[in-house]
Amino acid sequence: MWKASAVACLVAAAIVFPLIVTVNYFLHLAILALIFVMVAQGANIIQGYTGYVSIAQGAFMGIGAYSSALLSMRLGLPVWASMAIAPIITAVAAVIAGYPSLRVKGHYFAIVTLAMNMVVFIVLVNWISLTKGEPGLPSIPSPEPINLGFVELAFEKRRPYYYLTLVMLLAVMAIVTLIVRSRIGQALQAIRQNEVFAEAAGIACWKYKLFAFVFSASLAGLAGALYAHYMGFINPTPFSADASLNAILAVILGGSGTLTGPLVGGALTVLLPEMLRVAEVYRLIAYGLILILVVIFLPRGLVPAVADLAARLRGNKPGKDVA
Amino acid sequence: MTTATANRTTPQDALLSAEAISKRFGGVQALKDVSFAIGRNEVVGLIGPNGSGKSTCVNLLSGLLPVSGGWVRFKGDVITGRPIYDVVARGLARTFQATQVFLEYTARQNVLIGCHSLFKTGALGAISRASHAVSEYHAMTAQADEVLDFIGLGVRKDQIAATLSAAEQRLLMIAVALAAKPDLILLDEPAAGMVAGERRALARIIRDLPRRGTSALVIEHHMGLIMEVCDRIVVLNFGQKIAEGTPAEIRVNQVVIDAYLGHRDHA
Ligand SMILES: Nc1ncnc2c1ncn2[C@@H]1O[C@H](COP(=O)(O)OP(=O)(O)O)[C@@H](O)[C@H]1O
Ligand SMILES: [Mg+2]
Repeated sequence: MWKASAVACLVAAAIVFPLIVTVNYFLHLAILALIFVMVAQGANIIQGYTGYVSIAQGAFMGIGAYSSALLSMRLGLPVWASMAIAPIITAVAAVIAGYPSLRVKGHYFAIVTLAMNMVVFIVLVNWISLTKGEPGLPSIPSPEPINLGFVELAFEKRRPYYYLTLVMLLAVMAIVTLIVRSRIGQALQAIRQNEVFAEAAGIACWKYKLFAFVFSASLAGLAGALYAHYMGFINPTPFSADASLNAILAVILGGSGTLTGPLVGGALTVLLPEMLRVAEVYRLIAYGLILILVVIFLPRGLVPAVADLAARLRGNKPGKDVA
Repeated sequence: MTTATANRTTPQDALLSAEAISKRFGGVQALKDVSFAIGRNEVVGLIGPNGSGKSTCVNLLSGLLPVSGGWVRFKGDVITGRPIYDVVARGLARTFQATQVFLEYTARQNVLIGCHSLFKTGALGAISRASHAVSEYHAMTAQADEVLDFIGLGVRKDQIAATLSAAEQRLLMIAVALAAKPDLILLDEPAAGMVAGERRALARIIRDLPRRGTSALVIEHHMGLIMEVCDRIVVLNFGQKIAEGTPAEIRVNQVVIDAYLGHRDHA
């Protein structure tokens, strides 16, 4: 019960946030955080729930970003259409990378995904006729405005784009919740716990692993599309393996295999480096130190640690056992 | 139905038949041209000294490992080369010599994973909680509970597997294999690590399996258990079948006594 009310409070806070916080830079950071939470939600499906670490989420973001930008700019598709197609293109890329590497158990998958990220990055940098290379693609259009009657949402403005991203993220989280709590999600978690036994219990593991990977990729692709049409400009830099490592980190930091973990972890990986700007030169050192401390002292991540603490506080009320 | 003394199962009417199956691991010939059959509602024992190829045999029958030669036929179809999850879906389940469970799941969640091959509603229905998918899930939960009651873990339904005793975890592993109501279950040393009382309860469970429509192949070192539950016994030595017969026949078979029984005290 308290969980449901905590989620309701969080959503309410997210809705009023842009009305209270009017500093553009904070709104900008909030949009980037929401986008990266979506990437982390995807990474959590394959990494946290299924137990296979993908080092390609950055590449999938890039594929989504460039697909959507190019579809709208080169083919003149409406931005809404290109944003809907981008996750599908990303999913196809994930099938190609995942099918051979997920049919076998073990570490091949992580290596194949890392290689894939490097290949995608090299293509983005060097296929200049398509991607314009390192200098990047400027003038990416915003989504077409929507007239709600009482208000027109013009998405080149920050506040409407914030709400667009928030609505997309909430929809994604609802779908993720449904998947995780269904028998499909239970099969994924069975694979993480004991893949050999899951297979002997009748689960065609490779299909479920492929589903988890392709779904996680399409979320990264959607997030990439949201990023492209928000920034109005993209180049290959944010889609390197660094971004993939950040997604992995977000899952670990927040609490892998939990629904709210990526929310906290994804937001922190975007906001923490910014908040540490006060420390200037020591920023990266401080960031690294915080990460190491979390991994050492809260190995299951922040959300499970806080939940444990809350449970312990409620469990230790006077009258209950004090052992 | 096959009784202890009459009607040796022939490959034609067999539920499962192994036909000259072999397995090499590099230079080791773990199994060589082993043939036998298991009939419907039959409990067959598979015994032999350590390293004689019993687990390898189960691994080949269940599709966990590919055969180096021979065929496995189940309900009339050749299943050699089929992946293990497909073999399970056809009604041939197995357990492992080393305990396997989903440690973070409750007993009931464990058994529900074993029901997976029975679900008829698709993934989309399951995720979107379509009403027929929800009622199917409830039906599976009821089936899982029934299996847990049968195995004697009914009171442990909601307990996390990691907190169960070693013997309970072994029973849970069997429950997962029984979840989908298989036609045949392969039990690799199910009583390993159990004390006498637990072993007696297990013997009762195995004897009850044919009544539930499940035949069994039981690997076991404890001869009391084997002699008690089995209709027939197959004996392996150095990867080859050296004898097959009723418990009474095996007990007095000189080849078996020399290779296996003579070296053990099996009180
Ligand atoms: N995966 C494997 N790789 C190599 N050798 C194996 C493997 N599995 C079993 N063996 C060998 O095959 C033989 C039979 O082993 P196993 O089937 O486990 O015997 P049992 O179950 O009767 O004790 C042994 O010599 C064992 O060392
Ligand atoms: Mg063995």
